[in-house]
Amino acid sequence: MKNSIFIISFFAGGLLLGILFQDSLNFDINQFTDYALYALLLFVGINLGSDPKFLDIIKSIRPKIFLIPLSTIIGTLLGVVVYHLIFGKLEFGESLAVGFGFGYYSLSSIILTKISGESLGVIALLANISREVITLILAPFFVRIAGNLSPIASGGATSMDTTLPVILKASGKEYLIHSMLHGVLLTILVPFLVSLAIQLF
Amino acid sequence: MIILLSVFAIGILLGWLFKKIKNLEAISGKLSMVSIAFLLFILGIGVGAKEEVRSHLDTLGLTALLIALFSIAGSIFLAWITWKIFYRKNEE
Repeated sequence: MKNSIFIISFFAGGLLLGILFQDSLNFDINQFTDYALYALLLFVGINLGSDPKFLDIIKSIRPKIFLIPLSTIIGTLLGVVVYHLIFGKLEFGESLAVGFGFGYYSLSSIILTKISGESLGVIALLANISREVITLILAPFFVRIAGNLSPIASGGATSMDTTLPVILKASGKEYLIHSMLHGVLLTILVPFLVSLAIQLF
Repeated sequence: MIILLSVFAIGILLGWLFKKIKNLEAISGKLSMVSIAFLLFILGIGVGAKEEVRSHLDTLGLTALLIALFSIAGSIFLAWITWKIFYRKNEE
């Protein structure tokens, strides 16, 4: 949570700066961000690979456990399809790419800013922050209406870190591995699925 | 995009190969935070400087919230089905 506030304050600071100096800025985001984005993905990868729990989690995998991240992916796809049929303001692939951020707002918003521009980047940022915050607040409610796996699914990629404590509290400590594995797998998949959604649809 | 994804895959491999290095996880975590902060700062400037994006922040926010709500609803619906079929029966 402290990290989220730290990160968001940078976005807010940039926003303010952008508004103040909008006339003197002729801004092309791509010229600044290419290498920073490569660096980011390299660091995120190193961070995942070097996590001592990473291998334990991969080793502890039983086939059945894959059903949980799979439900989250298909469920998110379903949710976005329904959203698109009712509201459908964006291209389907754009909405799906936002959904496939799975709560990983920093990475998904930056990738989408690069592929599609600031508007979709901001939507991805806000949508995926919302996914995290809603999970933090409603985890116990989700358990009551949809069983013990539901807060894990709702947390998406964040079920391995930021939303893990509330998930374990709502679902029970025995869901530690389920929740961690779910988060790790979705975190790895976010860059792939986000760009795939844009390219396919 | 392919370069981006390859860099990511290389990162995971490097992290796994050099996981013996002390503090590698903590350092890479810090460095990714710094890159994220920088990139979101730049995104902030881009949004702030562009009238056509800035003036639509409320619409963008509503779209974002709706996509989040539908994604969560779909996810917990499928999680509920998975729970009913594959998990609940096995509880002792």
